[in-house]
Amino acid sequence: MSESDIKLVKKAKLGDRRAFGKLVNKYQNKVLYLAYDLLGNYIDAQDVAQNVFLQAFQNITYFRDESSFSTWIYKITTNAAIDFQRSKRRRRALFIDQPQPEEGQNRSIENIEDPYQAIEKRFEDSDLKNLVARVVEDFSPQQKAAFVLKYFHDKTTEEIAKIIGCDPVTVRGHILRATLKLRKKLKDER
Amino acid sequence: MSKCDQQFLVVDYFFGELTSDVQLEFENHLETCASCQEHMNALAATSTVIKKQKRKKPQKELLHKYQLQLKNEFYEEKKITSWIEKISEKFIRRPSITIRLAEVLVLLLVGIFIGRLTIWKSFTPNEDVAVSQINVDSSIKQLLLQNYLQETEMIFLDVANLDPVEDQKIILNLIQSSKYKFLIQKTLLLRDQARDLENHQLYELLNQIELILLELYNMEKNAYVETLSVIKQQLKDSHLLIEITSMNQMDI
Repeated sequence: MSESDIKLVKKAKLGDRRAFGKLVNKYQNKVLYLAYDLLGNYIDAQDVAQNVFLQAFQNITYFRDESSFSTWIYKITTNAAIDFQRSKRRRRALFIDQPQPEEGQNRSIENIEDPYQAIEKRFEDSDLKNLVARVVEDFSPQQKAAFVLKYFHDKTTEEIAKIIGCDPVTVRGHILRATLKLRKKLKDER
Repeated sequence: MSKCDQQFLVVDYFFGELTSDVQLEFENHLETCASCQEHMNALAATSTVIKKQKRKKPQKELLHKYQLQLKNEFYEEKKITSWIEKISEKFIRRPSITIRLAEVLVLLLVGIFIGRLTIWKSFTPNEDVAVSQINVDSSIKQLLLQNYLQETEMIFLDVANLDPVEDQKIILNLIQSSKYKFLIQKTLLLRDQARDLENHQLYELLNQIELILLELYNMEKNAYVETLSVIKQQLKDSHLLIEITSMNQMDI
């Protein structure tokens, strides 16, 4: 852990909101980008990132110095993003399962589209079209997190293991399998 | 392609996370393992593709809103309106070094003051305590006086009743033993106290006792019988024994 992080965490543990503010300032973009890489759009990523800092502030007293603050905040972000995606899928499933209106009934409901898809379409359409993003969407949450943390955030295998909460051997397996899957897709596309 | 038991090491090798020993060993293995070579190629190709992918930047408005919300929540100075909050901010949450030192000084002074109060309280004589102390003192003095009068009475009784000729040895032994009881010193001490207490009766009695005791203690060897006879007569005439006995029976 960098010296400044250690000092700031100590102060934050004593309730110094300004010290925590400095940590927020330092990690706000990293957290936002990790959330984006895991969720695929900035609207959700922003919500998740804000909750990540709230969670971190509420639980800073439980933070142990065994790992770095960076690893800890990445762990919270990864878990929050995975949880967000799961609940979003459940909400989507519920929305799709709604009974459709019959002919002649309230027609306006027909115009309702999935609000999440609509926002994504508006803001992230072009981004979602890229191949990597589409392939990564097919990965399991842990595989996706390991892949993103390795290729987009330059984390070591040991760090990723701490962030996603598994052993390094599993992390290597996730990364290798995800890489081979992507490689195959890239070949097929050509 | 057959699976290799070292295939997962290829990840750490590609990203440069192996120790030099393991790396060297793995490089030797890589030269002969087609499976690991294939994995290495896949990692290299993926890495190249990903490096080409640029992460889409967030919209300025969205990024600004996000940063502003975090700023407001965590590192923007909040305006303090209530005077309680102002005081707590200035003296408890974020006191300056001067205020912190002043707080320590005040705490020290309060501590010293409380300590002093406790000490004063323990050393200031309480009225009840003082009265009981006087009572204890006076009862001890009374016991001492009674004890003294009993001892004096005993020796004077012996002198008055024994025969100076026949019981000369007994009388001399009595006088000798009474010397060890410091009767003269006790007489002088009690007389001073009687004077201070303005107890004239006791003062006079002690004066007479002193005179008799001095005569007894200062007897010359060749005049024992004569001196003892004189003292015996004096005791009878002065009614000193009666006085001592009555004094002994009453509260002084």
